[in-house]
Amino acid sequence: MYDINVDEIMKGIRSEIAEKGYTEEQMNYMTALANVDVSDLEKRYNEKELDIKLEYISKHYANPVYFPLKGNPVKVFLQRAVRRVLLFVIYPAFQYQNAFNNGTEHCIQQMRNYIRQTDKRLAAQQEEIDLLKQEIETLKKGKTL
Amino acid sequence: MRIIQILPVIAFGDAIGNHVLALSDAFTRRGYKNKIYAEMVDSRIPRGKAEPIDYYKEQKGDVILYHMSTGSPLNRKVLEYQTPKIMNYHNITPAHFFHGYLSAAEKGCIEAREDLAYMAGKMDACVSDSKYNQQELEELGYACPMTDIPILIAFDDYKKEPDAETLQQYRDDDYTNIVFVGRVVPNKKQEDLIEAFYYYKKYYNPKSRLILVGSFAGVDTYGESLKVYADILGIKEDVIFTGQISFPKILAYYRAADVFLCMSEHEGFCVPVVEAMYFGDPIIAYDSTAVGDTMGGGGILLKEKKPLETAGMIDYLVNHAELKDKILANQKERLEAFSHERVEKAYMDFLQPFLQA
Repeated sequence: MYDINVDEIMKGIRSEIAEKGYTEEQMNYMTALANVDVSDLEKRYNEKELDIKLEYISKHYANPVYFPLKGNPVKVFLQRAVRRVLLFVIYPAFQYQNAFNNGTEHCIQQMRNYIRQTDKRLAAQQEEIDLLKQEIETLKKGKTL
Repeated sequence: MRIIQILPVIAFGDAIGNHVLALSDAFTRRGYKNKIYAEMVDSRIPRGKAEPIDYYKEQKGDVILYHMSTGSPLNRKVLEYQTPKIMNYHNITPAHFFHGYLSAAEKGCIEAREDLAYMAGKMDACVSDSKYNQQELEELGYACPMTDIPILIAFDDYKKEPDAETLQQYRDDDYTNIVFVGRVVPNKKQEDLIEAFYYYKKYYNPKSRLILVGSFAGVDTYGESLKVYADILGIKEDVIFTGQISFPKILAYYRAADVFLCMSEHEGFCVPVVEAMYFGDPIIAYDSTAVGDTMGGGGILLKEKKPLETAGMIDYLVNHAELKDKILANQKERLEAFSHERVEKAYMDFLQPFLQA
């Protein structure tokens, strides 16, 4: 094995840090999160995650009863045969589940739309508030609008 | 004669689950009948590979290999079997790491430590993944025959094709990728990776990203707090949390890595370090628990945890090809210690007296 003198490399790094004036800030995890209620984080709304999962649900809510069977040809043949024999049980179950999935997906889409609309409305209202604040400041300074 | 592997949970894709399955294959190849039983069998484990513990009927000539890593009623129940019992100790995360995040895990770890102490003197032999693990057993008064043998890693799985899309997205640009692979849990100290990365990006290389590969593993509050931390530091766009991902994607991240950085403060072995060696990623790791033992002279081992200096070390490594080459050569040499043949043989040699009896 090659001998690597980590202490020597570290020494060089330390002097470079000192030379260039790099400093550590009081930004470690505990300090940075001192005022954050960690127990609330689990329930934090994550728009990106919601969109990714929703896209997956939208693509996959309807599961075909004739889902592809892969693998050993003998096994596949048997699986096909069993599926055909039990189709009168499986088919309604699939239909019921797919209808339920469809309804669930629709509800979540509705909620997502509502969030988007609310976000838009709030953004517009915020703009209006900012404008009004500016006008109040102007009026306070005795100027006319 | 049968070798019976017992463990509380056999999970798909985790280090212990993979180790148990790889051992089972090794036993089968050498002509030993063997079975795996667990309290909980992950549904993704190939059918027939493992069965619920209730199905186990003790037979004369059985040898039990009990995998100890977590709190479970099975820890004490296994002592009731009359056959020879060998413990494979994978270590138990100290409970304090979960304090404030997941009380169930905290309680489980406390119970597991109590069980481990209770089991001293009741096992016929012990195999530990590392010297660090063995030392813990010795401190608890275990006096049976003991040895340390690395976890059995199925390297053949790593030859599979990596996810092309992920590879293209992260490898084929001019960013430096700092990667860590491991569940997002408090003992792995992902916050220290984020802090070191913050300084690296700020002072050394703005064109860099930190990729944290691993599931949140039920400790969602910790994972979310890390996202908030990255946000506060203003680097959330460049700290990527993959969450649970497919195996080809994990392979792609290993292949896209420029540096493998590990700041974990508790490891009984640390499989990702060996995986990084396999994929030719130069490693920088904090010297804690079993990490130094597993590194065995490969990679850079940091004695102190100073984020700014860690950032400096990343920069030094990225910009010194000669050092990188030496590290990769050392890692390659170290990797031989974990070869399937070598580990398998060590296991068989250790188990032999019990198998002959």
